[in-house]
Amino acid sequence: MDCKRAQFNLTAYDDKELAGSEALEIKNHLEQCQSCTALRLSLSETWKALDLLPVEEPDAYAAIRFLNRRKPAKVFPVFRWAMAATFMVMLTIGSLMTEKSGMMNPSSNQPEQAALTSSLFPDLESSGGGNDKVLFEAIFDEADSTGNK
Amino acid sequence: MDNAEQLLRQFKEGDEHAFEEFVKGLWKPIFQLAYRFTGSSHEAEDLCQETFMKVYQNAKTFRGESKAFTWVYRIASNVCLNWKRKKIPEPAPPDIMPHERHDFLMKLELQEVFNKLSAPERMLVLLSKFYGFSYQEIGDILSISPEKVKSRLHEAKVKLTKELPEFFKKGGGVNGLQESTV
Repeated sequence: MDCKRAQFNLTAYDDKELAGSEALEIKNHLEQCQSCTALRLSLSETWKALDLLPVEEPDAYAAIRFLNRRKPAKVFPVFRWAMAATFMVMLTIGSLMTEKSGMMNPSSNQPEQAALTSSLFPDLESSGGGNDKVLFEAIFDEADSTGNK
Repeated sequence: MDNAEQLLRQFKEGDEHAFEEFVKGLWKPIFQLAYRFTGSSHEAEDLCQETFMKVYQNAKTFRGESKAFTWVYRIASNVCLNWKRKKIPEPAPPDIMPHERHDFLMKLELQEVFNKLSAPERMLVLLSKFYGFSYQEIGDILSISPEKVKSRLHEAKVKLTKELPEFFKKGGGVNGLQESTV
């Protein structure tokens, strides 16, 4: 076996990847060839030096984080029911409060508006109360009389 | 990981817990493969996640023509090599304490020499050196023949030996190397 072929097979020889007969040939060649033996040593030192390549331990929780992120968010059935019930209760309370304050039925506060109007414009009482036309005339009349003075 | 086949089979049958065990068992070696390849723990974690996401998505179609173990490494290798193709800038070296400087600089120099190898060569070296895969298994992972593994690995080793500063080795026998390997 020549050096060129021996050297080509050195890595495979050290990795025990050669068939028996080929490995034996390399072994015999190395016993009588100093340069190939030196190269083999150099290659194995390089291989050993790679142990110094920086490496880190993974974050202890990285795999857990990955697995948790992969899962769809779990909402327990009881919690889901509680959320739905709370929403319904809030909706009911909201609608009751709205109804009580009259926002749902604007006509329900008409008496209060009439009382307010009569207190501001007492003259309107005699001229028919809620009639818009009379109301506007009264306002303009009042403005005219004030201006004439 | 001896029970990788079994866990993957159980997962294919619908056992999600088996997938969790599978991930927990392989997270560290895949992370460290990605770390040595990229030199960054942040990138390594991202690549690790991408690897296992692909495992999760493709496990149902895994036909078992190769070992589950080598299948995962194939995915991880592809993820790493694709990352390299995206041309992401090298991470900045971390801050170091003065007493760590010598050790750190040695490692940095070694990393620089290692990074001179092409991305496939680096992957080849990592799979052989740190995971003890046979040439046949590395061939399965990287989709090349065992003969190709043999020649490429030897070439990578010779390149490293030529580039590596002398203080990493004592022999210096690389000078006797015959030009152009077979």
